[in-house]
Amino acid sequence: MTNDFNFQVNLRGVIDLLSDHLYSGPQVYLRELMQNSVDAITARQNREAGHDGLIKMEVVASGDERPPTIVVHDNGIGLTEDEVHQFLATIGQSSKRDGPASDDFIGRFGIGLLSAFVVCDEIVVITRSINADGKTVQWKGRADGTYSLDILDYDFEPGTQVFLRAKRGSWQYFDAEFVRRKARHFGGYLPHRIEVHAEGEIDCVNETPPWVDYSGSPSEREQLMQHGRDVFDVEMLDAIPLRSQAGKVQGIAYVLNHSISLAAKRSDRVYLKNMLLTEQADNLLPSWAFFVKCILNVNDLRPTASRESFYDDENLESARVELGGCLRQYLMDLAEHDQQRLYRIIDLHYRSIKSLAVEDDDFYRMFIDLLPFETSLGSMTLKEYRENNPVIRHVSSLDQFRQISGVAAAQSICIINSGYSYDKELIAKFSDVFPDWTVEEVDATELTQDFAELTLEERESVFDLLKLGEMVLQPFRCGIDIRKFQPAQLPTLFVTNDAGDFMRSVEQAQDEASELWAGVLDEMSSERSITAETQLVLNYNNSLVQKLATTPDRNLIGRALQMLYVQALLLGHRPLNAREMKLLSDGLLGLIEYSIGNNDESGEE
Amino acid sequence: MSQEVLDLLEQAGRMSEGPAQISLCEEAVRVADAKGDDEHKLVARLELVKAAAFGGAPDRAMVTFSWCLAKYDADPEEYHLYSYDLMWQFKWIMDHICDFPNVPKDKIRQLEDDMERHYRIEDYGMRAVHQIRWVNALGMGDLNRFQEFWDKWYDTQRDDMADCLACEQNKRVEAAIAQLDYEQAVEYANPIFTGRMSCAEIPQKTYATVMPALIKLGRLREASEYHEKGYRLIRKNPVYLADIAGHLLYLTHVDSFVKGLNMVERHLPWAIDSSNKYWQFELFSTASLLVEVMSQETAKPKKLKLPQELSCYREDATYELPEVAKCLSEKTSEIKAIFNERNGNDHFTKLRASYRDLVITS
Repeated sequence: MTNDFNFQVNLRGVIDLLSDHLYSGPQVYLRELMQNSVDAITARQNREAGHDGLIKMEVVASGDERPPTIVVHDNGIGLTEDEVHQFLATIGQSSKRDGPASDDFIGRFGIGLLSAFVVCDEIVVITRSINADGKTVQWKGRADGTYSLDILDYDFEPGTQVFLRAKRGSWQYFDAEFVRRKARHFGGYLPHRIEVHAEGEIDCVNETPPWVDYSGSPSEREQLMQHGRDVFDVEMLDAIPLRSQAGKVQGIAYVLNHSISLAAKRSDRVYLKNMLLTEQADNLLPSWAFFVKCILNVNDLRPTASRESFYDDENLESARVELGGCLRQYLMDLAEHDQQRLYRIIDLHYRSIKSLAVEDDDFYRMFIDLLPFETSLGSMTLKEYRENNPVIRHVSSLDQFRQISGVAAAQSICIINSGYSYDKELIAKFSDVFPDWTVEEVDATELTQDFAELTLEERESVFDLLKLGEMVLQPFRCGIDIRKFQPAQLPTLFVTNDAGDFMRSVEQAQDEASELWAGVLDEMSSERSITAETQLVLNYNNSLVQKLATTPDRNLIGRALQMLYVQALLLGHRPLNAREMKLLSDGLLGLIEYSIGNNDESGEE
Repeated sequence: MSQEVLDLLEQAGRMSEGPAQISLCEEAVRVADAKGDDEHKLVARLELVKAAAFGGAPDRAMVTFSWCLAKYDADPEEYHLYSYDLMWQFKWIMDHICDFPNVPKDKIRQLEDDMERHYRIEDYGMRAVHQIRWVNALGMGDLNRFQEFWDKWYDTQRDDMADCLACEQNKRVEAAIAQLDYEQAVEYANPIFTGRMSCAEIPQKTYATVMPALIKLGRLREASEYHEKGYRLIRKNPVYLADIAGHLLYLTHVDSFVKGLNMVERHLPWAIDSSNKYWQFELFSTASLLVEVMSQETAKPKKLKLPQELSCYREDATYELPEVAKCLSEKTSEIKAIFNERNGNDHFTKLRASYRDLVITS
């Protein structure tokens, strides 16, 4: 025989879980209570069109030993006895979840009221349904998971009152000023009248929401800007009205007046049906829109159980696309009508604009020329670059750009650094969008080919030097070449391509690794090693190099070339591998010995 | 202390995975080498391993990891704080080691043994090691060895080093697909698709992994849904190259050529740049099938944006489709041959035939 039992749920434990993991802090109990009231009023309005909603929050300050209390009244639909059993006492059961009008409600998880246990040990609800036979019901729920229910013997106005008495340690959440502030914070934009009764005063916390249908007039803009200042406490650059059919979203995007890190987490202030949901929504705007901070009111997206974010479903995706569209249109309009403001925005937020341009070809066409890029001759817009260069040439690795940019600049060669995020994609895309233009990706080794060639005669004079250089550098898989370039003080330039960089890191790892791993690295990189290029480019303009070419002592030349190689590595901030370290110490000693030897000889003469 | 290293790493840590994140970590390694102490060099490299492993540069991950492992082995006491990270990263490296056909079979076994040795010293369970052994055996088409370690894996308790539940489940799907057990694959995938299991790479990988099964079983409505959901999650990161191939198979099967060609144009350059030969194989083989099937439907030359590295590359960007199909097919054959030779079997020939079977209806 089988016996069926019910799970026993420890309510206290569930409350602790909720408060620790689901909610951002105890103050949300006010939000949850207001939310219940709003939903009750909405439900009543569905039955009685034109009913005026009213929410009263009455704060009674603490006496000597008496804790403070709060009573929240609403003139909403109220609950019958059956509904009280069903909804107030069953966790996860909400009157608002199913049914034809469930989207009208803010809450849907059936845990809202219980959040009050975070700040009190007992909740008393007195309620009377608008149904004709509705009786006045009193429900007392306790944090230990028990509750009692009484039918009261008098006719209460339809609606609901919730009584809470602060538990020890929670008094601060019942302070009159705190309640006023939070009521305004969470519910100030609600369409129903909200009063806070405390300290003998009645305050109405309602304010006009900033999202309305905009006419675009200057005074309206000033109002929006003022609102942004009030909310975010910084001066904003501009305010952009937003609207989306999907999710029924309306709001304002504020253009930040300072640059923002690519990695910063976005945080928008979002209201759900005019009730504040979160100040840290991170998924309502497209990822490229990090140049704005938004205030949004959402009517038709699904909040997560914590009510502090939204489910990332298709509806949200469409809303995101529409909201992104508003920002995109704003930028496009600026490009036509207010270039000065646009330049300011590009100046601060070019990364944001670049990341949109990567994905959106029309936008790309319009903005790419205005965007700044780093080049060997300093930062310039692509337009400025194109005015002086027939072909777009770029180096796609930060490291290689650094190897070459100084020297390229000295030759007045202008080359774009596309090593930063987005830049490579943006530059590579140029010839797709504008087929008349050629885009060339070069690496540092290719770029040195642009430096001036030697004359035939000069070539002859350095032939032996190069041959010897090839021999002494070959064990380091480094080639040698000679060109004329500026500045003349620079004897050599060390350049590699991507594969060359990679092979250097392989060697570096092999210096440390066990035989097994070192061997596997060899095998794994065998293909890449074929395309690896590493080159020491000698500068024929340099007097030391010229002297070397005429020195008869082959040992000395070999040593000197090795030392130039190590010096070039060090100048490029490259860690030396074990063999190069040895080269450095041997070479230094050798040169010291050599010069002492020479001095001795001259001394004897 | 070099604050600069930590700043760079923090910045990188908050970026999404991919080449840009890898560059930033490489920069941090350079700064650490120039100015930092040994601990910074290690910390920066551990982050680089992670960025490279999740950003589609497995060779970079491998090289950097071997440096870290050697440093750790030389002085385990000094770096004991990092032993957990390092042992965890061991799995990422070993998970792709068989994708490099230049690494011989016996070396792969020795690396597996080296992993086991390290895990025993650190006193971790063998579940992750068994998993790596069957993953590699399966990747090389050695079904007996696969079964041996699959069974051991099944019998070994999960512990701190085991993959997360979602990743393990996805591995089950991959294993079923590799054995052409399509019904089983879909069954394994279920808890992932109903949202009960997820992690950083799951479900987006599974949407692609399960594609052959859905095609073969004729469950095209689901295939279409998973294609829509899955592709947008993976299209920006080269680490998903082999998964993109799954979507290409689907598009080929339903004759969605325009979408398919866009995908080929976008991702062929990744395949060419990739150091992972298996990923290359997956993309070249499925791309060649797409173009082949398409060429049977239309005789007109097509404007295509193909990478210069392909032997069929044309300056005027106008291509005869059979020519492109042939070029991609030859590329596939080349890679297939290298793998078959290393593996000592015809596993990759069969793999290729199974893709063909999914999209070519005779």
